[in-house]
Amino acid sequence: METGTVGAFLEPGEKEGDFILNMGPQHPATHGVLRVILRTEGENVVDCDSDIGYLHRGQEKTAENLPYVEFTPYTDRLDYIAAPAMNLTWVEACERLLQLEVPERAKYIRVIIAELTRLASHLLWLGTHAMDIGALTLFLYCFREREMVLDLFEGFGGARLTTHIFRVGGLPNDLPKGWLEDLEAFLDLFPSRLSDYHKLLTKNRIWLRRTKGIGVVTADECVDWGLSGPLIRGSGIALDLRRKQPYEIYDRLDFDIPTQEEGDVYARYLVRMEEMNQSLRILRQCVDQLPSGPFIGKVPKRLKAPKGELYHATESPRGEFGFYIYSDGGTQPARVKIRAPSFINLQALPVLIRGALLADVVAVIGSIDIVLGEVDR
Amino acid sequence: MSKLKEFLSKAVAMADPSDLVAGASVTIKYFFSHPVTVMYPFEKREFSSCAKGVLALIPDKYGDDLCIGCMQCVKICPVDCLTVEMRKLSKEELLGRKFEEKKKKALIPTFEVDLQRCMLCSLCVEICPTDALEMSQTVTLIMTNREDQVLDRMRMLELGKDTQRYRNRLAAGEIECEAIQCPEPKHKD
Ligand code: SF4
Ligand code: SF4
Repeated sequence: METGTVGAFLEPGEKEGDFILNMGPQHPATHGVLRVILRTEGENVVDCDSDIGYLHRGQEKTAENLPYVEFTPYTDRLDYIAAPAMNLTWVEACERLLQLEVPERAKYIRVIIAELTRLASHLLWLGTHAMDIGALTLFLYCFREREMVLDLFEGFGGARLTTHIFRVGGLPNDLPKGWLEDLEAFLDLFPSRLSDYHKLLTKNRIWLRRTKGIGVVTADECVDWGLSGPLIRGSGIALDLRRKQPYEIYDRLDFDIPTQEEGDVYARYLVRMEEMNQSLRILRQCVDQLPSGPFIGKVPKRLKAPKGELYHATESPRGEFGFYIYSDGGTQPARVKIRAPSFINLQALPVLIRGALLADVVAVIGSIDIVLGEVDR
Repeated sequence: MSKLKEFLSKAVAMADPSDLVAGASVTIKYFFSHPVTVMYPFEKREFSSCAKGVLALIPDKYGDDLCIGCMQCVKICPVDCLTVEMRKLSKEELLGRKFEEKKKKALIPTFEVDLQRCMLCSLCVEICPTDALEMSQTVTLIMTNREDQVLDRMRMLELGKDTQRYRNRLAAGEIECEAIQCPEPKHKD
Protein backbone atom coordinates (compact mmCIF):
# COMPACT_ATOMS: atom_id res chain seq x y z
CA MET A 1 0.00 0.00 0.00
CA GLU A 2 1.28 3.45 -0.81
CA THR A 3 1.96 5.75 2.05
CA GLY A 4 -0.71 8.33 2.44
CA THR A 5 -3.56 6.07 1.49
CA VAL A 6 -6.11 5.29 4.09
CA GLY A 7 -5.09 2.51 6.36
CA ALA A 8 -1.47 2.54 5.22
CA PHE A 9 -0.32 2.49 8.80
CA LEU A 10 -2.39 -0.58 9.32
CA GLU A 11 -0.22 -2.73 7.05
CA PRO A 12 -0.67 -6.32 8.13
CA GLY A 13 2.02 -8.58 9.39
CA GLU A 14 3.66 -6.36 11.97
CA LYS A 15 2.86 -8.75 14.71
CA GLU A 16 1.99 -12.39 14.89
CA GLY A 17 -1.78 -12.86 15.13
CA ASP A 18 -2.71 -9.45 13.84
CA PHE A 19 -5.65 -9.33 11.54
CA ILE A 20 -6.92 -6.50 9.38
CA LEU A 21 -10.66 -6.36 9.22
CA ASN A 22 -12.72 -4.19 6.93
CA MET A 23 -16.03 -2.96 8.21
CA GLY A 24 -18.18 -1.25 5.64
CA PRO A 25 -18.66 0.69 3.44
CA GLN A 26 -21.81 -1.35 3.15
CA HIS A 27 -22.47 -2.35 6.68
CA PRO A 28 -25.80 -1.68 8.34
CA ALA A 29 -24.20 -0.43 11.53
CA THR A 30 -22.01 2.22 9.94
CA HIS A 31 -25.06 4.37 9.20
CA GLY A 32 -24.26 5.05 5.60
CA VAL A 33 -21.14 4.49 3.63
CA LEU A 34 -18.38 4.57 6.20
CA ARG A 35 -15.52 2.16 5.90
CA VAL A 36 -13.69 1.36 9.09
CA ILE A 37 -10.42 -0.51 8.86
CA LEU A 38 -9.70 -2.35 12.05
CA ARG A 39 -6.52 -4.00 13.22
CA THR A 40 -7.55 -6.73 15.55
CA GLU A 41 -5.81 -9.09 17.88
CA GLY A 42 -8.31 -11.80 18.47
CA GLU A 43 -11.44 -10.03 19.61
CA ASN A 44 -9.62 -6.86 20.63
CA VAL A 45 -9.29 -3.86 18.38
CA VAL A 46 -5.74 -2.60 18.51
CA ASP A 47 -6.07 0.27 16.10
CA CYS A 48 -8.44 1.60 13.54
CA ASP A 49 -8.79 4.07 10.75
CA SER A 50 -11.82 5.39 8.96
CA ASP A 51 -12.15 5.81 5.23
CA ILE A 52 -14.65 8.44 4.21
CA GLY A 53 -15.61 10.22 1.04
CA TYR A 54 -17.96 7.73 -0.57
CA LEU A 55 -20.74 10.29 -0.48
CA HIS A 56 -18.72 13.31 -1.54
CA ARG A 57 -20.72 15.63 -3.78
CA GLY A 58 -18.69 18.81 -3.61
CA GLN A 59 -21.26 20.81 -1.69
CA GLU A 60 -18.77 23.53 -0.78
CA LYS A 61 -17.86 24.04 -4.39
CA THR A 62 -21.51 24.00 -5.43
CA ALA A 63 -22.20 26.79 -2.98
CA GLU A 64 -19.68 28.99 -4.77
CA ASN A 65 -21.63 28.71 -8.00
CA LEU A 66 -25.07 29.50 -6.69
CA PRO A 67 -26.65 32.66 -5.36
CA TYR A 68 -27.24 32.73 -1.62
CA VAL A 69 -30.94 31.85 -1.75
CA GLU A 70 -30.48 29.01 -4.17
CA PHE A 71 -28.04 27.10 -2.03
CA THR A 72 -30.59 26.60 0.75
CA PRO A 73 -32.15 23.44 -0.73
CA TYR A 74 -28.69 21.96 -1.11
CA THR A 75 -28.09 22.24 2.63
CA ASP A 76 -30.90 19.71 3.12
CA ARG A 77 -28.59 17.15 1.62
CA LEU A 78 -25.84 17.67 4.17
CA ASP A 79 -27.32 16.17 7.29
CA TYR A 80 -30.42 14.64 5.83
CA ILE A 81 -31.58 13.32 9.18
CA ALA A 82 -31.80 16.85 10.54
CA ALA A 83 -32.28 18.93 7.42
CA PRO A 84 -33.99 21.93 9.05
CA ALA A 85 -30.99 22.43 11.32
CA MET A 86 -28.79 22.73 8.24
CA ASN A 87 -31.25 25.13 6.59
CA LEU A 88 -31.28 27.20 9.74
CA THR A 89 -27.53 27.62 9.87
CA TRP A 90 -27.30 28.62 6.23
CA VAL A 91 -30.14 31.13 6.27
CA GLU A 92 -28.84 32.65 9.50
CA ALA A 93 -25.37 32.96 8.07
CA CYS A 94 -26.79 34.63 4.97
CA GLU A 95 -28.92 36.96 7.02
CA ARG A 96 -25.94 38.03 9.08
CA LEU A 97 -23.88 38.56 5.96
CA LEU A 98 -26.59 40.45 4.13
CA GLN A 99 -27.77 42.27 7.25
CA LEU A 100 -31.39 41.24 6.96
CA GLU A 101 -33.93 41.55 9.73
CA VAL A 102 -36.02 38.56 10.69
CA PRO A 103 -39.44 39.11 12.28
CA GLU A 104 -40.03 37.87 15.81
CA ARG A 105 -42.66 35.34 14.83
CA ALA A 106 -40.36 33.76 12.30
CA LYS A 107 -37.68 33.43 14.97
CA TYR A 108 -40.01 31.58 17.30
CA ILE A 109 -41.24 29.26 14.59
CA ARG A 110 -37.66 28.59 13.57
CA VAL A 111 -36.80 27.54 17.08
CA ILE A 112 -39.87 25.30 17.20
CA ILE A 113 -38.80 23.59 13.99
CA ALA A 114 -35.18 23.38 15.11
CA GLU A 115 -36.14 21.68 18.35
CA LEU A 116 -38.49 19.31 16.56
CA THR A 117 -35.53 18.51 14.35
CA ARG A 118 -33.47 17.68 17.40
CA LEU A 119 -36.22 15.33 18.53
CA ALA A 120 -36.48 13.70 15.12
CA SER A 121 -32.73 13.29 14.88
CA HIS A 122 -32.30 11.92 18.38
CA LEU A 123 -35.19 9.53 17.84
CA LEU A 124 -33.55 8.13 14.77
CA TRP A 125 -30.26 7.91 16.61
CA LEU A 126 -31.86 6.13 19.54
CA GLY A 127 -33.66 3.66 17.35
CA THR A 128 -30.70 2.73 15.20
CA HIS A 129 -28.22 2.80 18.06
CA ALA A 130 -30.38 0.45 20.10
CA MET A 131 -30.91 -1.77 17.10
CA ASP A 132 -27.17 -1.99 16.46
CA ILE A 133 -26.69 -3.17 19.99
CA GLY A 134 -29.54 -5.62 19.71
CA ALA A 135 -32.65 -3.95 21.14
CA LEU A 136 -34.84 -4.17 18.09
CA THR A 137 -38.12 -3.20 19.72
CA LEU A 138 -37.07 0.35 20.33
CA PHE A 139 -36.28 0.92 16.68
CA LEU A 140 -39.93 0.53 15.76
CA TYR A 141 -41.17 2.68 18.61
CA CYS A 142 -38.75 5.48 17.80
CA PHE A 143 -39.75 5.51 14.18
CA ARG A 144 -43.37 5.75 15.16
CA GLU A 145 -42.68 8.96 17.05
CA ARG A 146 -40.32 10.26 14.42
CA GLU A 147 -43.13 9.90 11.89
CA MET A 148 -45.21 12.25 14.00
CA VAL A 149 -42.49 14.86 13.88
CA LEU A 150 -42.09 14.39 10.14
CA ASP A 151 -45.84 14.81 9.75
CA LEU A 152 -45.50 18.14 11.51
CA PHE A 153 -42.76 19.12 9.06
CA GLU A 154 -44.97 18.06 6.20
CA GLY A 155 -47.84 20.10 7.56
CA PHE A 156 -45.72 23.20 7.71
CA GLY A 157 -43.16 23.04 4.94
CA GLY A 158 -44.61 20.39 2.66
CA ALA A 159 -41.70 17.97 2.74
CA ARG A 160 -40.58 15.35 5.18
CA LEU A 161 -36.93 14.63 4.68
CA THR A 162 -35.25 17.23 2.51
CA THR A 163 -37.39 19.92 3.96
CA HIS A 164 -36.09 23.27 2.66
CA ILE A 165 -38.18 24.72 5.42
CA PHE A 166 -36.63 28.16 6.03
CA ARG A 167 -35.98 31.02 3.65
CA VAL A 168 -33.42 33.77 3.80
CA GLY A 169 -35.26 36.49 5.69
CA GLY A 170 -37.92 34.38 7.36
CA LEU A 171 -40.18 31.49 6.49
CA PRO A 172 -41.91 30.35 3.29
CA ASN A 173 -45.38 30.52 4.82
CA ASP A 174 -47.11 31.05 8.11
CA LEU A 175 -48.18 28.17 10.29
CA PRO A 176 -51.22 26.52 8.73
CA LYS A 177 -54.44 26.33 10.70
CA GLY A 178 -54.46 23.61 13.26
CA TRP A 179 -50.71 23.06 13.18
CA LEU A 180 -50.13 24.34 16.69
CA GLU A 181 -52.86 22.05 18.00
CA ASP A 182 -51.15 19.12 16.32
CA LEU A 183 -47.90 20.17 17.90
CA GLU A 184 -49.47 20.43 21.32
CA ALA A 185 -51.04 17.02 20.95
CA PHE A 186 -47.60 15.68 20.16
CA LEU A 187 -46.08 17.50 23.13
CA ASP A 188 -48.68 15.96 25.41
CA LEU A 189 -48.08 12.50 24.08
CA PHE A 190 -44.32 12.44 23.82
CA PRO A 191 -43.27 12.47 27.52
CA SER A 192 -45.05 9.17 28.11
CA ARG A 193 -43.29 7.70 25.09
CA LEU A 194 -39.97 8.98 26.37
CA SER A 195 -40.55 7.23 29.67
CA ASP A 196 -41.27 4.06 27.71
CA TYR A 197 -37.85 4.29 26.11
CA HIS A 198 -36.32 4.78 29.53
CA LYS A 199 -38.13 1.73 30.82
CA LEU A 200 -36.87 -0.33 27.93
CA LEU A 201 -33.24 0.71 28.09
CA THR A 202 -31.96 2.84 30.92
CA LYS A 203 -31.89 0.13 33.58
CA ASN A 204 -31.79 -2.85 31.27
CA ARG A 205 -28.87 -5.04 32.32
CA ILE A 206 -27.87 -5.99 28.79
CA TRP A 207 -27.92 -2.36 27.70
CA LEU A 208 -25.81 -1.36 30.70
CA ARG A 209 -23.24 -4.03 30.00
CA ARG A 210 -23.01 -3.12 26.36
CA THR A 211 -22.62 0.62 26.95
CA LYS A 212 -21.06 1.35 30.33
CA GLY A 213 -17.34 1.99 30.24
CA ILE A 214 -17.21 1.53 26.44
CA GLY A 215 -15.72 4.13 24.13
CA VAL A 216 -14.49 6.42 26.85
CA VAL A 217 -13.23 9.84 25.85
CA THR A 218 -11.99 12.26 28.48
CA ALA A 219 -12.79 15.94 28.60
CA ASP A 220 -9.22 16.86 27.64
CA GLU A 221 -9.30 14.59 24.63
CA CYS A 222 -12.60 16.12 23.60
CA VAL A 223 -11.07 19.57 23.63
CA ASP A 224 -7.96 18.39 21.78
CA TRP A 225 -9.99 16.80 19.03
CA GLY A 226 -12.45 19.68 18.79
CA LEU A 227 -15.43 17.50 19.48
CA SER A 228 -18.80 19.04 20.05
CA GLY A 229 -22.39 18.15 20.71
CA PRO A 230 -23.48 15.28 22.93
CA LEU A 231 -19.99 13.83 22.70
CA ILE A 232 -18.37 16.66 24.63
CA ARG A 233 -21.33 17.05 26.96
CA GLY A 234 -21.10 13.37 27.77
CA SER A 235 -17.56 14.02 28.98
CA GLY A 236 -18.53 16.74 31.41
CA ILE A 237 -18.11 19.95 29.41
CA ALA A 238 -21.32 21.94 29.14
CA LEU A 239 -20.64 23.32 25.69
CA ASP A 240 -23.83 24.20 23.88
CA LEU A 241 -23.94 27.00 21.34
CA ARG A 242 -27.55 27.68 22.21
CA ARG A 243 -26.21 28.94 25.50
CA LYS A 244 -22.68 30.02 24.60
CA GLN A 245 -23.59 32.19 21.60
CA PRO A 246 -27.36 32.38 21.56
CA TYR A 247 -28.94 32.71 18.14
CA GLU A 248 -32.59 33.33 17.31
CA ILE A 249 -34.38 33.56 20.66
CA TYR A 250 -32.51 30.99 22.72
CA ASP A 251 -31.34 33.65 25.16
CA ARG A 252 -34.95 34.18 26.26
CA LEU A 253 -35.71 30.54 26.85
CA ASP A 254 -35.22 28.58 30.00
CA PHE A 255 -33.57 25.22 29.51
CA ASP A 256 -30.77 23.14 30.99
CA ILE A 257 -27.75 21.71 29.30
CA PRO A 258 -27.46 18.10 30.37
CA THR A 259 -23.97 16.78 31.01
CA GLN A 260 -22.50 13.52 32.25
CA GLU A 261 -19.04 12.93 33.62
CA GLU A 262 -18.17 9.43 32.47
CA GLY A 263 -17.62 10.06 28.76
CA ASP A 264 -18.70 6.57 27.73
CA VAL A 265 -21.42 5.36 25.42
CA TYR A 266 -23.91 5.22 28.27
CA ALA A 267 -23.18 8.82 29.28
CA ARG A 268 -23.82 10.01 25.75
CA TYR A 269 -27.02 8.02 25.71
CA LEU A 270 -28.19 9.75 28.90
CA VAL A 271 -27.22 13.17 27.55
CA ARG A 272 -29.23 12.71 24.40
CA MET A 273 -32.22 11.35 26.27
CA GLU A 274 -32.21 14.35 28.56
CA GLU A 275 -31.78 16.67 25.58
CA MET A 276 -35.05 15.38 24.22
CA ASN A 277 -36.66 16.32 27.51
CA GLN A 278 -35.16 19.80 27.33
CA SER A 279 -36.32 20.19 23.74
CA LEU A 280 -39.84 19.52 24.95
CA ARG A 281 -39.42 22.27 27.53
CA ILE A 282 -38.23 24.69 24.86
CA LEU A 283 -41.10 23.75 22.58
CA ARG A 284 -43.66 24.35 25.31
CA GLN A 285 -42.21 27.80 26.03
CA CYS A 286 -42.15 28.72 22.35
CA VAL A 287 -45.75 27.69 21.88
CA ASP A 288 -46.76 29.78 24.88
CA GLN A 289 -44.80 32.85 23.87
CA LEU A 290 -45.41 32.71 20.11
CA PRO A 291 -46.10 36.30 19.00
CA SER A 292 -48.18 37.26 16.02
CA GLY A 293 -46.85 39.31 13.13
CA PRO A 294 -45.30 38.82 9.73
CA PHE A 295 -43.39 35.65 8.97
CA ILE A 296 -40.88 37.07 6.52
CA GLY A 297 -38.94 40.30 6.61
CA LYS A 298 -38.00 42.61 3.76
CA VAL A 299 -35.80 40.73 1.37
CA PRO A 300 -34.50 42.49 -1.73
CA LYS A 301 -35.00 40.62 -5.00
CA ARG A 302 -31.32 40.64 -5.84
CA LEU A 303 -29.24 39.74 -2.85
CA LYS A 304 -25.79 41.24 -2.99
CA ALA A 305 -23.52 40.68 -0.04
CA PRO A 306 -20.97 43.24 1.07
CA LYS A 307 -17.33 42.28 0.95
CA GLY A 308 -16.22 40.36 3.97
CA GLU A 309 -16.18 37.05 5.71
CA LEU A 310 -18.20 35.43 8.39
CA TYR A 311 -18.42 32.28 10.40
CA HIS A 312 -21.78 31.35 11.77
CA ALA A 313 -22.44 28.25 13.79
CA THR A 314 -25.45 26.74 15.46
CA GLU A 315 -26.01 23.76 17.68
CA SER A 316 -27.23 21.06 15.36
CA PRO A 317 -28.36 17.77 16.93
CA ARG A 318 -24.87 16.45 16.31
CA GLY A 319 -22.85 19.38 17.56
CA GLU A 320 -21.45 22.64 16.33
CA PHE A 321 -22.46 23.05 12.72
CA GLY A 322 -21.10 26.11 11.00
CA PHE A 323 -20.71 27.86 7.71
CA TYR A 324 -17.73 29.98 6.90
CA ILE A 325 -18.60 32.31 4.04
CA TYR A 326 -16.17 34.56 2.25
CA SER A 327 -17.83 37.14 0.06
CA ASP A 328 -16.12 39.26 -2.56
CA GLY A 329 -19.13 41.51 -2.96
CA GLY A 330 -21.05 39.51 -5.54
CA THR A 331 -24.37 37.74 -5.59
CA GLN A 332 -22.66 34.45 -4.88
CA PRO A 333 -20.28 33.51 -2.10
CA ALA A 334 -16.65 33.35 -3.18
CA ARG A 335 -15.77 30.58 -0.73
CA VAL A 336 -17.79 28.41 1.55
CA LYS A 337 -16.47 26.07 4.17
CA ILE A 338 -18.72 23.76 6.09
CA ARG A 339 -17.80 22.82 9.62
CA ALA A 340 -19.54 19.52 9.98
CA PRO A 341 -19.77 18.15 13.51
CA SER A 342 -20.03 14.50 12.45
CA PHE A 343 -16.88 14.84 10.38
CA ILE A 344 -14.88 16.16 13.30
CA ASN A 345 -16.43 13.80 15.83
CA LEU A 346 -15.68 10.87 13.55
CA GLN A 347 -11.98 11.71 13.52
CA ALA A 348 -11.81 10.77 17.18
CA LEU A 349 -12.99 7.26 16.38
CA PRO A 350 -9.57 5.62 16.93
CA VAL A 351 -9.37 7.24 20.37
CA LEU A 352 -12.72 5.81 21.28
CA ILE A 353 -12.26 2.38 19.80
CA ARG A 354 -8.70 1.46 20.74
CA GLY A 355 -8.71 -1.43 23.15
CA ALA A 356 -12.39 -2.16 22.75
CA LEU A 357 -13.88 -5.43 21.69
CA LEU A 358 -14.93 -5.92 18.10
CA ALA A 359 -18.60 -5.97 19.06
CA ASP A 360 -18.24 -2.62 20.79
CA VAL A 361 -17.17 -0.89 17.59
CA VAL A 362 -20.79 -0.82 16.52
CA ALA A 363 -21.86 0.66 19.85
CA VAL A 364 -19.20 3.36 19.65
CA ILE A 365 -20.00 4.37 16.07
CA GLY A 366 -23.66 4.54 17.01
CA SER A 367 -22.92 6.73 19.99
CA ILE A 368 -21.01 9.28 17.90
CA ASP A 369 -24.15 9.59 15.79
CA ILE A 370 -22.68 10.32 12.39
CA VAL A 371 -24.50 11.14 9.20
CA LEU A 372 -22.39 10.47 6.19
CA GLY A 373 -24.01 13.12 4.07
CA GLU A 374 -22.48 15.67 6.37
CA VAL A 375 -19.17 13.88 6.87
CA ASP A 376 -18.47 13.63 3.15
CA ARG A 377 -20.34 16.75 2.03
CA MET B 1 -14.43 -11.92 51.99
CA SER B 2 -14.86 -8.74 49.99
CA LYS B 3 -14.85 -10.80 46.84
CA LEU B 4 -17.60 -12.92 48.20
CA LYS B 5 -19.60 -9.80 49.07
CA GLU B 6 -19.10 -8.44 45.61
CA PHE B 7 -20.18 -11.69 44.11
CA LEU B 8 -23.24 -11.80 46.33
CA SER B 9 -24.28 -8.23 45.49
CA LYS B 10 -23.86 -9.00 41.82
CA ALA B 11 -25.88 -12.14 42.17
CA VAL B 12 -28.66 -10.22 43.90
CA ALA B 13 -28.61 -7.62 41.13
CA MET B 14 -28.79 -10.38 38.55
CA ALA B 15 -31.65 -12.03 40.32
CA ASP B 16 -33.66 -8.82 40.54
CA PRO B 17 -35.92 -8.93 37.51
CA SER B 18 -37.36 -5.39 37.82
CA ASP B 19 -35.54 -4.03 34.75
CA LEU B 20 -36.68 -6.86 32.54
CA VAL B 21 -40.22 -6.69 33.85
CA ALA B 22 -40.35 -2.95 33.17
CA GLY B 23 -39.20 -3.51 29.60
CA ALA B 24 -41.62 -6.35 29.04
CA SER B 25 -44.49 -4.30 30.42
CA VAL B 26 -43.90 -1.70 27.70
CA THR B 27 -43.93 -4.24 24.91
CA ILE B 28 -46.97 -5.99 26.33
CA LYS B 29 -48.78 -2.66 26.63
CA TYR B 30 -48.31 -2.02 22.91
CA PHE B 31 -49.21 -5.57 22.08
CA PHE B 32 -52.82 -4.68 22.74
CA SER B 33 -52.88 -1.32 20.94
CA HIS B 34 -53.83 -0.63 17.36
CA PRO B 35 -51.17 -0.79 14.67
CA VAL B 36 -49.91 2.58 13.48
CA THR B 37 -48.73 1.51 10.06
CA VAL B 38 -50.66 2.12 6.87
CA MET B 39 -50.94 -0.80 4.46
CA TYR B 40 -49.58 1.31 1.67
CA PRO B 41 -50.66 0.14 -1.75
CA PHE B 42 -54.16 -0.74 -0.52
CA GLU B 43 -54.55 2.13 1.87
CA LYS B 44 -53.22 5.61 1.33
CA ARG B 45 -52.70 8.25 3.91
CA GLU B 46 -53.94 11.79 3.47
CA PHE B 47 -51.33 14.37 2.69
CA SER B 48 -51.34 17.66 4.47
CA SER B 49 -52.67 20.51 2.39
CA CYS B 50 -49.20 21.96 1.82
CA ALA B 51 -47.49 18.70 0.91
CA LYS B 52 -45.17 19.21 -2.02
CA GLY B 53 -45.41 16.80 -4.90
CA VAL B 54 -44.55 17.11 -8.57
CA LEU B 55 -44.49 20.62 -10.01
CA ALA B 56 -47.68 21.62 -11.81
CA LEU B 57 -49.23 24.52 -13.67
CA ILE B 58 -52.50 25.88 -12.36
CA PRO B 59 -55.14 25.93 -15.08
CA ASP B 60 -57.26 29.04 -15.29
CA LYS B 61 -60.95 28.99 -16.07
CA TYR B 62 -60.31 28.67 -19.79
CA GLY B 63 -57.98 25.75 -19.31
CA ASP B 64 -54.91 27.82 -20.10
CA ASP B 65 -51.99 28.50 -17.79
CA LEU B 66 -51.39 31.76 -15.99
CA CYS B 67 -47.76 32.12 -17.02
CA ILE B 68 -46.64 35.42 -18.53
CA GLY B 69 -43.24 34.15 -19.55
CA CYS B 70 -41.20 36.38 -17.28
CA MET B 71 -38.56 33.64 -16.86
CA GLN B 72 -38.01 34.33 -13.18
CA CYS B 73 -38.64 30.71 -12.30
CA VAL B 74 -36.10 29.60 -14.87
CA LYS B 75 -33.54 31.93 -13.38
CA ILE B 76 -34.06 30.97 -9.75
CA CYS B 77 -34.19 27.22 -10.24
CA PRO B 78 -30.97 25.94 -8.65
CA VAL B 79 -30.76 22.92 -10.93
CA ASP B 80 -31.93 24.52 -14.18
CA CYS B 81 -34.65 22.01 -14.83
CA LEU B 82 -37.29 24.33 -16.27
CA THR B 83 -37.63 25.16 -19.97
CA VAL B 84 -40.01 27.96 -20.82
CA GLU B 85 -40.66 29.40 -24.22
CA MET B 86 -42.78 32.45 -24.61
CA ARG B 87 -44.45 34.01 -27.66
CA LYS B 88 -45.56 37.59 -27.29
CA LEU B 89 -48.96 38.29 -28.76
CA SER B 90 -49.38 41.26 -31.02
CA LYS B 91 -52.13 43.82 -30.47
CA GLU B 92 -54.36 42.23 -33.12
CA GLU B 93 -53.92 38.78 -31.66
CA LEU B 94 -54.68 40.04 -28.20
CA LEU B 95 -58.03 41.40 -29.34
CA GLY B 96 -60.77 38.93 -28.80
CA ARG B 97 -58.71 36.66 -26.61
CA LYS B 98 -59.90 36.02 -23.13
CA PHE B 99 -57.33 35.87 -20.36
CA GLU B 100 -58.09 35.48 -16.75
CA GLU B 101 -54.83 37.07 -15.75
CA LYS B 102 -54.69 40.79 -16.55
CA LYS B 103 -50.94 40.82 -17.07
CA LYS B 104 -51.01 37.98 -19.53
CA LYS B 105 -50.03 39.10 -23.01
CA ALA B 106 -48.20 36.04 -24.16
CA LEU B 107 -48.65 32.42 -25.12
CA ILE B 108 -46.47 29.73 -23.65
CA PRO B 109 -45.85 27.10 -26.35
CA THR B 110 -43.35 25.22 -24.19
CA PHE B 111 -43.23 24.71 -20.49
CA GLU B 112 -41.22 21.74 -19.36
CA VAL B 113 -39.91 20.47 -16.09
CA ASP B 114 -37.27 17.79 -15.93
CA LEU B 115 -38.30 15.55 -13.07
CA GLN B 116 -34.95 13.85 -13.01
CA ARG B 117 -33.41 17.05 -11.79
CA CYS B 118 -36.19 18.85 -9.97
CA MET B 119 -35.71 18.59 -6.23
CA LEU B 120 -39.13 19.98 -5.30
CA CYS B 121 -37.67 22.95 -3.48
CA SER B 122 -40.59 25.20 -4.54
CA LEU B 123 -38.37 28.25 -5.04
CA CYS B 124 -39.95 28.69 -8.48
CA VAL B 125 -43.45 28.54 -7.02
CA GLU B 126 -42.65 31.26 -4.55
CA ILE B 127 -41.08 33.66 -7.03
CA CYS B 128 -43.75 33.44 -9.73
CA PRO B 129 -45.49 36.82 -9.97
CA THR B 130 -48.76 35.39 -11.30
CA ASP B 131 -48.90 32.25 -9.13
CA ALA B 132 -48.90 30.15 -12.25
CA LEU B 133 -46.92 27.34 -10.67
CA GLU B 134 -47.86 25.17 -7.76
CA MET B 135 -46.64 21.97 -6.16
CA SER B 136 -49.25 19.31 -6.82
CA GLN B 137 -50.08 16.54 -4.39
CA THR B 138 -49.15 13.83 -6.83
CA VAL B 139 -46.11 12.01 -5.54
CA THR B 140 -46.09 8.86 -7.61
CA LEU B 141 -45.59 9.16 -11.33
CA ILE B 142 -44.60 6.00 -13.09
CA MET B 143 -42.64 6.19 -16.31
CA THR B 144 -41.05 3.52 -18.38
CA ASN B 145 -38.36 5.61 -20.01
CA ARG B 146 -36.20 8.58 -19.31
CA GLU B 147 -37.72 10.90 -21.89
CA ASP B 148 -41.10 10.74 -20.20
CA GLN B 149 -39.58 12.25 -17.11
CA VAL B 150 -39.65 15.61 -18.81
CA LEU B 151 -43.17 16.78 -18.19
CA ASP B 152 -44.60 19.03 -20.88
CA ARG B 153 -47.10 21.83 -20.44
CA MET B 154 -50.12 19.59 -20.97
CA ARG B 155 -49.15 17.13 -18.31
CA MET B 156 -48.28 19.91 -15.92
CA LEU B 157 -51.70 21.43 -16.44
CA GLU B 158 -53.30 18.04 -15.83
CA LEU B 159 -51.31 17.75 -12.63
CA GLY B 160 -52.55 21.20 -11.71
CA LYS B 161 -55.91 19.65 -11.02
CA ASP B 162 -54.36 17.80 -8.14
CA THR B 163 -53.48 20.91 -6.19
CA GLN B 164 -55.19 22.35 -3.19
CA ARG B 165 -55.58 25.71 -4.87
CA TYR B 166 -57.38 24.26 -7.90
CA ARG B 167 -59.70 22.28 -5.64
CA ASN B 168 -60.50 25.37 -3.63
CA ARG B 169 -61.35 27.27 -6.78
CA LEU B 170 -63.44 24.43 -8.10
CA ALA B 171 -65.35 24.34 -4.85
CA ALA B 172 -65.86 28.09 -5.00
CA GLY B 173 -67.30 27.73 -8.48
CA GLU B 174 -64.61 29.83 -10.13
CA ILE B 175 -63.77 27.24 -12.72
CA GLU B 176 -66.32 25.81 -15.11
CA CYS B 177 -64.19 24.38 -17.87
CA GLU B 178 -62.56 21.15 -16.82
CA ALA B 179 -60.89 20.33 -20.11
CA ILE B 180 -57.25 21.26 -20.47
CA GLN B 181 -56.29 23.02 -23.69
CA CYS B 182 -53.83 21.68 -26.20
CA PRO B 183 -50.16 22.78 -26.15
CA GLU B 184 -50.67 25.69 -28.53
CA PRO B 185 -53.52 27.14 -26.58
CA LYS B 186 -56.64 28.11 -28.45
CA HIS B 187 -58.94 30.27 -26.48
CA LYS B 188 -62.64 30.33 -26.51
CA ASP B 189 -63.22 33.41 -28.57
S1 SF4 C 1 -42.18 32.83 -12.97
FE1 SF4 C 1 -44.35 32.33 -13.34
S2 SF4 C 1 -44.98 33.79 -14.91
FE2 SF4 C 1 -42.74 33.85 -14.88
S3 SF4 C 1 -42.14 32.35 -16.46
FE3 SF4 C 1 -42.19 31.24 -14.52
S4 SF4 C 1 -44.26 30.38 -14.42
FE4 SF4 C 1 -44.28 31.96 -15.99
S1 SF4 D 1 -39.12 23.04 -7.50
FE1 SF4 D 1 -37.02 23.80 -7.34
S2 SF4 D 1 -35.83 22.39 -8.58
FE2 SF4 D 1 -37.94 22.05 -9.14
S3 SF4 D 1 -38.27 23.39 -10.91
FE3 SF4 D 1 -38.85 24.57 -9.11
S4 SF4 D 1 -37.01 25.70 -8.54
FE4 SF4 D 1 -36.38 24.06 -9.93
